[in-house]
Amino acid sequence: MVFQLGSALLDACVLAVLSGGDEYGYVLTQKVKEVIDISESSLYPVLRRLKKEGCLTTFDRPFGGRNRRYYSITEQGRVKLKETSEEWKQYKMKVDRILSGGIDNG
Amino acid sequence: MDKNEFLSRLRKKLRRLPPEDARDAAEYYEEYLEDAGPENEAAAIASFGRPETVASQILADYAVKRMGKDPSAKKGLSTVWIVLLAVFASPIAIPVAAVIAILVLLAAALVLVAVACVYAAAIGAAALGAVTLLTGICLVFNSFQTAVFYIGAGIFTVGAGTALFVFSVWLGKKAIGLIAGMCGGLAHRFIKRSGQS
Repeated sequence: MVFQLGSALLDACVLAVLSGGDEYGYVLTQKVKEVIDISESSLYPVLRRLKKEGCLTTFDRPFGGRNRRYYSITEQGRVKLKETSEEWKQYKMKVDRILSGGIDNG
Repeated sequence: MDKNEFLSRLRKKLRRLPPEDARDAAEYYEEYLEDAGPENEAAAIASFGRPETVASQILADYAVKRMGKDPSAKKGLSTVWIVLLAVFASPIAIPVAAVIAILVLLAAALVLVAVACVYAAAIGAAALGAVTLLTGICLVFNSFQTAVFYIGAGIFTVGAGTALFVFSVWLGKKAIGLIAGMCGGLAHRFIKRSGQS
């Protein structure tokens, strides 16, 4: 991918996946990876930060003799997701406008 | 590199973190590799990169976050330490890391030496004042005028020394805060550069 993704958008992508249901680290990473080219290790700091900010909570569920840590979006997380989505729409519109303008004039 | 080697190298590098944070990070990666399953394990480890790199990102991230929270001197010093470790563990060329670390250490050492000089001068002055004061007291019955002079000079010097001491402690705290701030900034830049894959 040619575009660099800022941390605000990466946060929003993680929250968006979680707004569709609780997930554990591996599946969450795979789902984000389908869209964005991130390394497998880059979600840990993101999840940690989002938890500190109160945007998500964690709970452990036993699986195959060990625990799986699930991540669950909070109300605060949904608010943040909505805010970022709105900002992204505005930003996308502006970029679209300038890009298509450039094509029309050229 | 298999799972166990990755995890033990990661744990080793995370040892500087508070135990709870180190365990949390190690558990995340352990769980991740277990969920990846034996067939995807090697690919996942390859995608993680070196465990030292993974650890350095966590350490640097941690240092920056803590800088904003609590700028006290003790935490300031351990932030300096964590940043140095993060720089050393990072994949950027070792010479560059070494130069950065040496510069940071040198700056820190210079500032701390300067503060130590003021501190020593303060203690010296206070001690000198105390001796002068004692001399004055001993001279009271021999020569009253000389005794009064010595006592006066002694009290003045003790006072000046104490004031200087208080100043040097304040200066020391400021200096450590400054160094830690500098390191935090450094780490912040470093994360920005290496945060994305």
